[in-house]
Amino acid sequence: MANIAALDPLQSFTGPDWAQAARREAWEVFSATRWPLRTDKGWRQTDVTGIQFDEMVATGSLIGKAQPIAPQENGVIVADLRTALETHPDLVRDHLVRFPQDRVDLKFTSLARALWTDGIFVYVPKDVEVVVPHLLAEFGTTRLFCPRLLVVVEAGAKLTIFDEHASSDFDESRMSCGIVDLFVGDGAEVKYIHLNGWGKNVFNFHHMRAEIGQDAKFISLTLGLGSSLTKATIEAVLAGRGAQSDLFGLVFGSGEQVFDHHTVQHHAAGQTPSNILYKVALTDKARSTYSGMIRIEHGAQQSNAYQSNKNILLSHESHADTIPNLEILANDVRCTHGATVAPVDETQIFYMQTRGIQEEEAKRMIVEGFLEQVVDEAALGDLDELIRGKVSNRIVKRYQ
Amino acid sequence: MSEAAIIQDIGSNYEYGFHDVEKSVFKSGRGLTREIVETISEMKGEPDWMRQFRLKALDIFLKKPMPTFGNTALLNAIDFDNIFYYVKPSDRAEKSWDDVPDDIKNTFNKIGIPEAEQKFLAGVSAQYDSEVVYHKMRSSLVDQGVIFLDMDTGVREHPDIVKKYISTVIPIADNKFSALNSAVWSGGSFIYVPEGVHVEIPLQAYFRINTENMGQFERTLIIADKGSRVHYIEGCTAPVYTTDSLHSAVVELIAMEGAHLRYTTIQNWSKNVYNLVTKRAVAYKNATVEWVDGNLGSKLTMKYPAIFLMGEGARGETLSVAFAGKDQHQDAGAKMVHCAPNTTSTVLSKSISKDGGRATYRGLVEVQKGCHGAKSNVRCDALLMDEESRTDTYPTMKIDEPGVSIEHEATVSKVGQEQLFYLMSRGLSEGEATTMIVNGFFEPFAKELPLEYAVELNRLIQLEMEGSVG
Repeated sequence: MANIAALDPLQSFTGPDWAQAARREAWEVFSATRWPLRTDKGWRQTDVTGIQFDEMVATGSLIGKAQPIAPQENGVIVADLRTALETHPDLVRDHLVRFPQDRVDLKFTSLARALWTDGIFVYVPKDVEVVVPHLLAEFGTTRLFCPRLLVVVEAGAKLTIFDEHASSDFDESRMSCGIVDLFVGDGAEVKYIHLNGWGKNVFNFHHMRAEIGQDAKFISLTLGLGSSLTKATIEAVLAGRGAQSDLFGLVFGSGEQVFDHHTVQHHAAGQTPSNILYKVALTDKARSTYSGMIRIEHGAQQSNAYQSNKNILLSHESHADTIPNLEILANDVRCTHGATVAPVDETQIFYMQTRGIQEEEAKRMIVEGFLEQVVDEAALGDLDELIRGKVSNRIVKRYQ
Repeated sequence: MSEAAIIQDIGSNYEYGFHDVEKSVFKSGRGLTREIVETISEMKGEPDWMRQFRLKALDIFLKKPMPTFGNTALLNAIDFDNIFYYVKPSDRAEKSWDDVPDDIKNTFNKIGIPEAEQKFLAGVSAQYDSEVVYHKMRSSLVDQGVIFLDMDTGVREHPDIVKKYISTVIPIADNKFSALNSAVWSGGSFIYVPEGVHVEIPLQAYFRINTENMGQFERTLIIADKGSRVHYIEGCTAPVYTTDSLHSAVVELIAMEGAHLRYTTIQNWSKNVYNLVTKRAVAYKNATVEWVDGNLGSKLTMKYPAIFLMGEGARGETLSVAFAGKDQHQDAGAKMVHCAPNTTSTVLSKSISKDGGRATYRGLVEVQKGCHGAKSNVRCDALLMDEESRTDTYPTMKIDEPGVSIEHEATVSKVGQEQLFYLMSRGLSEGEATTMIVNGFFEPFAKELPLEYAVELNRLIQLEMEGSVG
């Protein structure tokens, strides 16, 4: 029987020595860490003990697919990450080997760091402006897939990027362990859109981390639409004075889907504004946990953090948890969070019914309107229509 | 005094830090053993069921791990082997202050208990270390069938009621400290308010620790029968010592149909007291339970008063204020569990952190399946007075029912420069202006207190705030 623990992180990996060392180090951490239990911090809401992790290996190779599609000009690089290890080691190395270990999902991030095979490297030189309209990661023939995205944006540059994880439905369970690292240089501006469009029976573990430089701006939109179970961390580190982050997210859950999204607004430097809007709509037996952490470090004065989480429950079997946390170690700050769980407005449904719209159709329209506000606020420009279409298709699919 | 000296002085302003020479009639050795538990039970002349209850709890305490959340560094520094688990100060609870031993009476005089009793209380219980030394209730309430006793007397005189309800709200094994309390409890209040009786004037218990390294484990059970009303107030202080004491109470409240039960705490332990308390209430149909919880003292407080809304139309309210100064961590909050339809809960939490103090709000709102029409509103405000201090908010909301309305809001800010500027332009010093703003911040809490307590609270805040802005 195949077993994850019996894998060799260096098997069929021929990268440079430093990359091999990083894999070995991650593998040691992975081996020394156990799979999370229900009693572990960060895992109290979402039970993963029933997942047969050890069986999530390919009998063959570990290869999924991650396809780079983009024009490359003005020094912009959109390349296969394995190739970039050889061709641009100086741009990749420092960013790739950084390995924060104080994470509740360490078991999964260390696994991904040790075993990733397919990944994409995006590089935008100083003061260049570019749109990468579509990166796609999808399962190949394996049960375990570790897609990896590394984005380095130099000072003053601007990047908009759409990163989609998608697959069809599967009969047997599969696992995706994804890592996204974004480095936003001083004064740069990055808009990152991530779509979780995994099919049925995919267990999705995902960690996105953005490190934001001085006076830089980071906007992300996370669309939680697919997978059977998702445990995702979306982390913005405001590392330089004047750095700004806006994290937007939406979740639509139906059937027996489970979503557990954790956001982090980490104010490591002063004069940093951050903002979160997360909206969750659930029907059938879907469950969602939203937990958010605003942490303002000692000395990060004149920070201003806002966090809002809104949930609607459309069925008696759905369940929502919301845990908006604050840890504030500086005094000259402004910090506000709000969370609500509310029913669908019956008068709205009644009104639409009087106009001849069926109840289910009315609910669909209300949910779309509720979630679309997030897309509106993320102000995606050229990608707006594409994203709206993806969200709408997903909701329509449930209400057909 | 220079401003720097005043700032230095804050925290040593604790006026209840004195202690009496120890003259206990019995003092257990340090540390917790089966023998000590048996001795406590024997000295109290308890029935066998209570002795068994204690021994069972001791086993659970020894097996249970320490909590893994909160300030684990401070928690794990508790030296259970260094604590005196039972210190008996006098032979019995007196009904007249004249019969209370002089030292103890003087202590309560300094705190102002006899004076308050005359002015605005319907009954008073005064506990000194492990035992209640004074206990009295107005005769009119006795005539109406109200029972207000220390818990030991409750077990002796009303064993049926106590046996029926004790640990039904907080199981022995709820947490390590509820198990500890169940094993070595002593003192506390037992209150029963008969159907329809309104106790309009508050009942009060005052808890005083005197002995160094004392462990105080009072146990309180309050039953408000159908349609009754009662307001219970507790206060607590302790001497300043260089080593730590432990206060670990268990408080169970039962509000029957239509009852109204309010429980007010002004916690002002000295900064060497660990205050690890389990408080929980059940509210049946159309009943109201209110926790008014003020935390000013102690080294580490961990306390999350809970209300289980068990019957349709039940209402829960918690008003929590915390003041975290130098070397203090106030980890407080509220839990609201909606187990029936059309139940409502509100939580208002206010905290101030100053001089490196840390205030934490930790809360839970849970709506169980089938509780349609449930409403909950939680609001947390935190003020940070300086850059050494810290505040955290850890609320959890678990919602299993679609037809509900749940709101949570929190803000953290510093004292507004504009407000300060405005007040100073009217001739107030910066210190006075800050104190005024802080008093305003605490106003919703002070408003809920009997007048005398509100005055006392304002005075305490003033003491704490003096020279705090430099």
